[in-house]
Amino acid sequence: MKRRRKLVAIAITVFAVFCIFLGYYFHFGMIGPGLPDSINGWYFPQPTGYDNNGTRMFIGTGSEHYGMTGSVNQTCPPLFPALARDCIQARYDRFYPNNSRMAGQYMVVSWYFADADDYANAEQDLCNFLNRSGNVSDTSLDLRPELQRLSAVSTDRTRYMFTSVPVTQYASDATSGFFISYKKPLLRDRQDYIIMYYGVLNDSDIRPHAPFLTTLMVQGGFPQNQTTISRLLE
Amino acid sequence: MRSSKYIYDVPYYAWYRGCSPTASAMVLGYWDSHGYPNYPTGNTLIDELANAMGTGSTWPFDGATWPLWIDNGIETVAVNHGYSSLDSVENIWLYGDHFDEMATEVDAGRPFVLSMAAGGAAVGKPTAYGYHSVTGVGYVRTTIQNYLTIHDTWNSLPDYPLSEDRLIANGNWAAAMSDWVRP
Repeated sequence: MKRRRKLVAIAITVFAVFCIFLGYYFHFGMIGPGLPDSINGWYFPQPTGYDNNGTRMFIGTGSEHYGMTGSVNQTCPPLFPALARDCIQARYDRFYPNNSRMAGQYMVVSWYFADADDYANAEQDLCNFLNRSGNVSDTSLDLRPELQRLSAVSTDRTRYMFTSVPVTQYASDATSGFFISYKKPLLRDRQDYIIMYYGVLNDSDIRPHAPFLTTLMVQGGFPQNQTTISRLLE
Repeated sequence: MRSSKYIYDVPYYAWYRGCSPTASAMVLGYWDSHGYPNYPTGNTLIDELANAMGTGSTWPFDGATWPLWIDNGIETVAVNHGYSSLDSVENIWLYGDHFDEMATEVDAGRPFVLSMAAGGAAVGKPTAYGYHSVTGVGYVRTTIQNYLTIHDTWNSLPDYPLSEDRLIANGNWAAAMSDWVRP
């Protein structure tokens, strides 16, 4: 009888501990991954400062030659087909040093998809449009000069394990630039797909603008896992 | 009446591998530039913390951390870099107001990790945090409401520029847990 009581007491204790554990678990469970539903804008160029009104971003490294100001908003650019509901675009102006004359007007666009099929369809639509409206080619961008230059004001964004990125190059009279896509950049089982565009407006010659587009690209950072980075339709 | 306190020089790290190791890395990143320079920075430090605190890397625990392991992970990384005196203390808060405890840490110049269960949104932001770890770097007291100043690891422009502090109202969560980090 005594042994039975002892067993019952042990069972009650174990059950109580289990209930406390369950209570704790349902209050907390595991913490994380801790990401918002959409990570659009995650790889947008981070401003190094703002103007006095807080509306114009400044991107640069102290050298006027690389200084660009811009603003960002959550709309899709009319230059491309409506690929996604969730898109962000920004315009940046670059001026010649010690001169108010504009040296280039750039845009960065980010289209975000939380579904693999939506992403694949949009990517195909975009490629069809690009092939119809301009010249498209595959290339790789060498990041080393930009990373070396930025190392003087190093942030962790400049500490990448790789020094070049694959891009789809596009050239047309309205805009020319580089497309890059990130597939599941943060977690293997999380459905995040992003198409980024870094381009110059009203210029079909991308060569003189490539360093500045690379600046914008590096300033936005890249996924740590290089295998998640690709050209369009790769 | 309004009073506030803020710890400068706490770095802003973007989410990588999980919110708990990222938030913890910002705390150690602060100490790295305040007398404890052996720590790596950025994603290298986050990698070490994620490994030490057992942050999941496979579904369904990818990026998730068991909260009881956060303090142990921080201590392990500290010891690995020669700082065996570092003490990381966890506090589980299922009810009650613990704002003064957090303010005391900030007053002492010690950033900390705050892990929220069903956390609400930061002031003026649209997205609730849910089950999320952030770095506590300051506070604002007002007669109506007290707020914590945090680095939340999110950098989705335009709503969430990375290098921007957020405010979250004290108690805007179902439960919370803090990890003090005292070198």
